[in-house]
Amino acid sequence: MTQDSVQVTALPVRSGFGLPLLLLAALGLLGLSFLLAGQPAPAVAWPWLLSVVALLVVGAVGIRQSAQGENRTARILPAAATLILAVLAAEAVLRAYAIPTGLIPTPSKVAQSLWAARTVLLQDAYYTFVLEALLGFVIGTLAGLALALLAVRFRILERGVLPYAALLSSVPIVALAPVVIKAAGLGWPSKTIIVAITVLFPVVINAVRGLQSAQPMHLDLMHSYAASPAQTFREVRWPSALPFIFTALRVSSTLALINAIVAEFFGTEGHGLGFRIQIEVGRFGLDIVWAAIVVASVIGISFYLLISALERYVLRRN
Amino acid sequence: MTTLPSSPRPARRPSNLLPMLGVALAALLLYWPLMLWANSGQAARSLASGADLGCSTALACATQLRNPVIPAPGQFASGFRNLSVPPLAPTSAPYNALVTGGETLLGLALASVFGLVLATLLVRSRSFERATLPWLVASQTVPIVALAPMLAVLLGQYGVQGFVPKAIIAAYIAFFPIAIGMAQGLRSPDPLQLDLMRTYRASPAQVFGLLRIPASLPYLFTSLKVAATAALVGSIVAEISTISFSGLGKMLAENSRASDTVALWVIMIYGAALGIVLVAIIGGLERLVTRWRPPA
Amino acid sequence: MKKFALLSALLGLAILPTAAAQSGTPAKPVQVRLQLKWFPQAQFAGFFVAQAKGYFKAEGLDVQLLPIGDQSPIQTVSTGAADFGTTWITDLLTARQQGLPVVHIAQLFQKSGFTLVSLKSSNLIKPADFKGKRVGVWPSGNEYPAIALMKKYGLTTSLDSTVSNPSVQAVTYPFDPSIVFPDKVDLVSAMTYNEVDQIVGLGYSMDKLRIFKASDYGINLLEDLMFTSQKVLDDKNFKNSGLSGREIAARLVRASLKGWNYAVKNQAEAVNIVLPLCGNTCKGSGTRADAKGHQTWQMAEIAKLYNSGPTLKGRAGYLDPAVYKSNVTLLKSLGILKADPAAGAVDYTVWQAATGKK
Repeated sequence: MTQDSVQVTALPVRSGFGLPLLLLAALGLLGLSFLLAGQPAPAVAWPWLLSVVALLVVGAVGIRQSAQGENRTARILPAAATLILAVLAAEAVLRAYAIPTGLIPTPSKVAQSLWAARTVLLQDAYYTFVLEALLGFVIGTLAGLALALLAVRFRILERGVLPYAALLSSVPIVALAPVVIKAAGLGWPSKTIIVAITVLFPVVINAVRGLQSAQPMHLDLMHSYAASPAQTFREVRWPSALPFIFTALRVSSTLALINAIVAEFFGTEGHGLGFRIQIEVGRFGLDIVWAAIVVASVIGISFYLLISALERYVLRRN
Repeated sequence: MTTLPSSPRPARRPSNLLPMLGVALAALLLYWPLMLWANSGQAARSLASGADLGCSTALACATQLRNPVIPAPGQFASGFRNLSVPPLAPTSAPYNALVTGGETLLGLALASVFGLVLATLLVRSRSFERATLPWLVASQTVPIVALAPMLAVLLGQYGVQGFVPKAIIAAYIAFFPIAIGMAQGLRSPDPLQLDLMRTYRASPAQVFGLLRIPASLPYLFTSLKVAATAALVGSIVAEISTISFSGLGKMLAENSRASDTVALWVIMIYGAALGIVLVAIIGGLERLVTRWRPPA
Repeated sequence: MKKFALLSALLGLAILPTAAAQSGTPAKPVQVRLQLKWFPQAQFAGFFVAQAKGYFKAEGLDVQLLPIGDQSPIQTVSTGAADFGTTWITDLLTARQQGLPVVHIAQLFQKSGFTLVSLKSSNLIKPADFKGKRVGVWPSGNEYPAIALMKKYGLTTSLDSTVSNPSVQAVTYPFDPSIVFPDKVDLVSAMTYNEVDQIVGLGYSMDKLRIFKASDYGINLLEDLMFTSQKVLDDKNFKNSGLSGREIAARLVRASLKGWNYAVKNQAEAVNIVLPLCGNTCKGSGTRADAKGHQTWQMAEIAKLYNSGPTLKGRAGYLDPAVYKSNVTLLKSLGILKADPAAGAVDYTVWQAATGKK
């Protein structure tokens, strides 16, 4: 990313060796898992562990080689390879030590369960993401923006409300959950409210900062053009607030989903990823638990990337 | 919660005390009708289902429900007294808040060390950054709190019990903002300053210790404030979901099972206060460190 | 401070074997961690009595009784975070099915105390009426009796990750019936010895309630039992004490049964032993909030579950093979168990060694 990070190229191997090394490591790990699949648990696990570590070292060298240069492959391949190698290594190690599914399931088992329970997990994801996280996120953002506009318009409000917003943004959400659920019921709206509250405060704080961040020079300029307050707002204040607002939104986007899941631990009507995780942990269906976690993560990352893309698009246009 | 480190903070401005008091007063005035409305609805439903509450009308029951939606002032007062006196008894909230606060601070310390190491690696090695950064971001979308019980059980296997597993879970949740903030901070010295160091023939270690680390301190504190709340959530969740003998999370679990709604409200307020105090402590630390730092 | 404790513990471990080799029983009590299924309350009175009366110490054991968080006792025991635990039989057998090597060593409660409670006014007469209703269940492995009852009557719930269109809506909540009952669910889970009294405390006297006891509908899934991991049982030298894991288990069961027999005979005393150990969890609800009253009543209900079946024949702690077999058959017919559990899931030799009976 920066120039100074390029200097660390110790190995004099050409970057063309990256891919073969990665393939070697991946196929090696895959092979280990296959060898372990037929028999029960091997009597001694450490030779297997040693092979896994050796292959991971090969993989690490491969990743390093493939990360050189500025082309597309060099940007994407290392991350993809890291994930694939980590998953394959986990599979081999879990098999070598014969860890029961009830403690840690193998990635292949998780994949099977993910497929087998896909309908229910998608239904759960609909509740947790669409109804709770997304709706809460939108409500919290809109309320936060409205409050910020009021605070900037009426100074007295800013001085009275903003300090509370700063204080309340450091309130742990789990302490809130039981009380909100008691008040708003076990259905999804109570979780939506919790998400909205957690999104609200960072948005308020950052939006107010952003709205006030307009350069005095620009404001003076608008003033000398005899621009109306609405024009000033549209042309100067709002554009300069956008980067601040998006910072808050990006951080809130991942928190929204996690908070929805945590809130579900305090009571549900039998839907949602948090509910699924909680119920399956209790019955040692950890393959389903991990499948639900995978679903949550994929949605979380996508949402984060979506907000980031929106940020780039909006900021470029302004 | 999230602030851009570069945002300028205007110094002057009149005291916020009066407007804040006004808002507090308005909230208090709203509280009474809201409480009556919320509780009488609950009371009406209970009465309709044939419950014997010891009062006949919903409005009369509103201030004396055993499980109020929003506690009445009298209930608040007695709840606070029950949970706060004596403050250092194992069953009282202030003592348990101290325990949770301790776990959170330990977790933050662990997270800072780990975050610093990670940030250094991210800044020093591009292959490391390319291979892991996307997954560091992804790790934040994993509802790790779901894994807290399992993590605690795994740690318990190696004799790690009590205080430490909670701190580790808190650290897991808190390391990310710290690592990212520190990486940003370590990169923040501008090329001019780096050039200057080069003309002095400073070694890479010197550049790191004399320029990059000091430059990253403001970023560290900004991210610590974000991380503090996250870590607090982490340690409370860990207390709820693992074997614990003390802490706000344990009180939360206990009282939510003992159906004591008033206690839940009181604990929530203690939790909120703890979060505010933790952020204030970091703020104080920040002022201390930045004042001590030689002027650049 | 912590370091010193660790150091002295290590030193203690180093010294123990030599001392043990001389006397046959360890000079220092062996540290044993017993995982309870809940927070301290009269449900575990026998263990607390054994602790207070020194029964554990007399067996050379230093027992720490652990309260539970959100995870299952199975997990803490199978990973070694605790050495022994108490749980319900369905929990144990499903864990065994998932490959966790846990072993049943003593059966404390000989009868199920699980019920579903509804208001008489909601006109639910028999389990088949539950169709389309909302049922409040507890998570973390405590939902099986409810699932079994409904499955028996052909009902499916959203608790099953393979069913996308369930006929009963299961509502989960953190154990307190007042959160959901009666306005958010039609039926709520309740143990005879705890939540039933809490519901009465909410203002619904017994004559307003209809209580579906799972055991009345042929779902007599056994509850509180003692178990450990295969690893502990096979340990030749438990924590360097010089004693085998099997011997430790027998001693623990012997002392626990002694405590239990004392507790059910001297209930008022047992309650007084339990009360100081409770946080806020021993309280009842509403008009019956008083902790002492609630625990006294709980102790009486617990005694009913303990004083039943084999206990009445002087065989407290014995798992009646006929009842076990019918539990397994039931769980298999409901699809909760896929096959017969391995023979090693239940170990009778510990109980035999503890009691000297066959």
